[in-house]
Amino acid sequence: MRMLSLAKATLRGTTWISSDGLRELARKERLWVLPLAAVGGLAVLGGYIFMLVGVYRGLLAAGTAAGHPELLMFYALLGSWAFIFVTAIPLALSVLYYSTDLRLLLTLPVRPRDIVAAKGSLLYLYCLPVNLVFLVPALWLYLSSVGVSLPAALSAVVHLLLSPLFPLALASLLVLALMKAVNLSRFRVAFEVAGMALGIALVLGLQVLLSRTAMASLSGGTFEALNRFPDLYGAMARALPPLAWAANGFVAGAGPAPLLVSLLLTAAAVVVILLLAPIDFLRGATERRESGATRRAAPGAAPLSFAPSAPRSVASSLLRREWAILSSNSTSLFEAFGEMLILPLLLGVYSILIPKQYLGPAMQFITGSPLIGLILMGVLVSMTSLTTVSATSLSREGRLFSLSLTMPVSGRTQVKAKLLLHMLLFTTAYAVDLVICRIVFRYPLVSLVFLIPGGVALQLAGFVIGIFFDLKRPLLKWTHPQQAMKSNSNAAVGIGVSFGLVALLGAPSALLVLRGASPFLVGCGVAAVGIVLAATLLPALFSYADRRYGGGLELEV
Amino acid sequence: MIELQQLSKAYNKGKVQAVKDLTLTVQKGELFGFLGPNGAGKTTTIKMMVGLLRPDTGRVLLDGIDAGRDPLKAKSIVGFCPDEPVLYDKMTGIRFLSFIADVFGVSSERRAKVLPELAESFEMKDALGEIVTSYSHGMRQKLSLISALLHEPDILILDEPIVGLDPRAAFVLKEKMRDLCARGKTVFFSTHIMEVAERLCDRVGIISRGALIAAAPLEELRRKAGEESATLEKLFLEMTDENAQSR
Repeated sequence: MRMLSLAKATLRGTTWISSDGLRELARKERLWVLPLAAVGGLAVLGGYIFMLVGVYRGLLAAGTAAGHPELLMFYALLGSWAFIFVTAIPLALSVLYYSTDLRLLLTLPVRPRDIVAAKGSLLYLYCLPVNLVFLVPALWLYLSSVGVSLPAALSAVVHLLLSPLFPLALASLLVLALMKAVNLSRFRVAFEVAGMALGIALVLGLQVLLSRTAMASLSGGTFEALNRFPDLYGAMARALPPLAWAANGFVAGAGPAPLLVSLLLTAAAVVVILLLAPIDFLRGATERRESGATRRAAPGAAPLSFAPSAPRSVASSLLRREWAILSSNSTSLFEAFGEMLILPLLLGVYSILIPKQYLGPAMQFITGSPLIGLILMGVLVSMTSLTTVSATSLSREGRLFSLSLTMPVSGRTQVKAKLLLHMLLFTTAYAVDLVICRIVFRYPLVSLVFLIPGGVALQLAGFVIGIFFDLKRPLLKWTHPQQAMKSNSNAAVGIGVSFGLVALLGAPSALLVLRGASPFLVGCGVAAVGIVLAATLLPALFSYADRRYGGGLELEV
Repeated sequence: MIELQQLSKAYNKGKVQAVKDLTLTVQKGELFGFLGPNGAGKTTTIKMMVGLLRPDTGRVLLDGIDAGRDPLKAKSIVGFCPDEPVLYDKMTGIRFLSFIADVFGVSSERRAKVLPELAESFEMKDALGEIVTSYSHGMRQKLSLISALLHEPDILILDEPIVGLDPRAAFVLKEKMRDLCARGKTVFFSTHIMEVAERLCDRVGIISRGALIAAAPLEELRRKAGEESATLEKLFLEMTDENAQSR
């Protein structure tokens, strides 16, 4: 009963999924979020299920041809377990370690095992829908093909409901090991960024797999790669026995043994977690959080360095400070590096997604265009300015901004450090992108005459405008750093302005070239306009920053 | 020296008058305690002094420098410790202090001399290599205090500095405040702890509902109240009650 109460309290206290949560949404007049989220979720889900069914049909055909129609169930379970395992790691980390209610729960007269079970049931609730998305279409296809038998029906019920427990237990075990081996408080940002990157990689991988296989099945192709391995099922079953036992449970003549083994395996994993977690997780949660104090108190520990560093210039110190703020927030870091890597990422994804027969003509079309230099400038400037980083540079500081105001440093000096950081990150990315594009698209080298100064000037102008908006109306009151970027209208305005700038210069440039003007001269003209724009905006920003920092910027009290 | 001249500040488009017509002078070498009930306007006054808020009317002079007209020069002679420490969580303590030292242009000689001294006296020597996230509230407060003292400010402004400090750190801080005053610097701090103000301050100021209702040495406050042996706590309660009733 206590476990149930704890689970309910955790659900109510940490999510909107409760009557209290709905009442709060209604009070804030935000109930419209729910149907909107439902429509968006269903649209995404519908697309994925459509592609998933395409893949499953191919797998069923390949499996039936090899005499193992359960190959489909094997892959469906593999997909579900893999997806749940990967996504459950950050979830388990947040629920078992970072969760803020732990400090409260540990002081209550409840058994540690109840806390773990309550947290675990919450994780199970998160993972159950994922399992259903993977298994329901597979079951529908499989049972339609081989017919409904008692073992298949029993296996279906068991796996639909209990299947998430096994990968979830494995993910939780991994998290427990991490909690024991690594100081998760100290490396929280690194873990968050790694988790976000892994999530994106997983989504992209799934997208690539689904769209490639769906494309193959829609165009009437068969899964040739699968058919090349006559004993594909046998090989996979030997490599992953737990999945093979689970899949065998769906076979009519297999008897109850495979299902029982699957059940036992799941039960064993859950029991191990429940036995281990209260010991390690609770000790970890209380002790590792106090790692600083523990290390300081440790007898014989190596003395920590506190030698003062050599004096730096104010500019260099402020630049380091800007980096410290950016890197202390996983969202900022992820967005910054996402922007820097977006071109290579997109090129990589498209090279996998687009079939080879279409790739050649597409490249010919792009490289043969007289507008290639101008188009690249527009695309690369847009890509490297499609960032929420510049337009949130003050907002990111949050309440720490009061420290900036009490420092004897002018507004222009502080803003220069912000601009410099942006240029270091995104102008470097622009330069790298130019090199990549030269290798991939072979644009004429002479285009660099306008690509380098024009691109840098336009980037700078975009950043200046972004910072200007944030200077005018910074969002300094937030409880979580993500809000500084995600719930900040300045970010949208900054991105919009950068795009607008590119469109405003791009449209007349394209018209001029189409009317016979030299693309090189037009490019030089765009570069000149960019330089003039940046040179005009920069001093204006500096004097505005001086005014705002010099006593005019009011912090709401 | 701190001179506050007819300072006023209102919030919510003038609906809430936080500070009204506040005039006050704190001399060089003086240790001034600023007292008042919650919401009386102490923090707003301090925020106007250190440049976090712009006064609606009036001005702040710090050693003769108009903080509104020449904010950078004014800030460079002030050490400030807010009521809630404002620190970069992902920096180590020493990196944060180095950043503050860079910004205030503290020489390497002074860093080498003062930093170990302050770290030692606030018992932070072993913690400065750790990131701020791992600090307790008291340790954060100590780091904030060290950063305020690092550049040997001519004017030290502290908002509730004793809260959260262990007895030893509180004692060290009081010694430092006294020492600064003995060397001709000005110390201005707000507090709710009457015993501290009573024992430490040359003069106390009492603010209630945005108005300064008294600013004098404790003896003078007692004389005015006609209670020669009254504690500061008793005088404070009487004065603030009277002020509340008269409105």
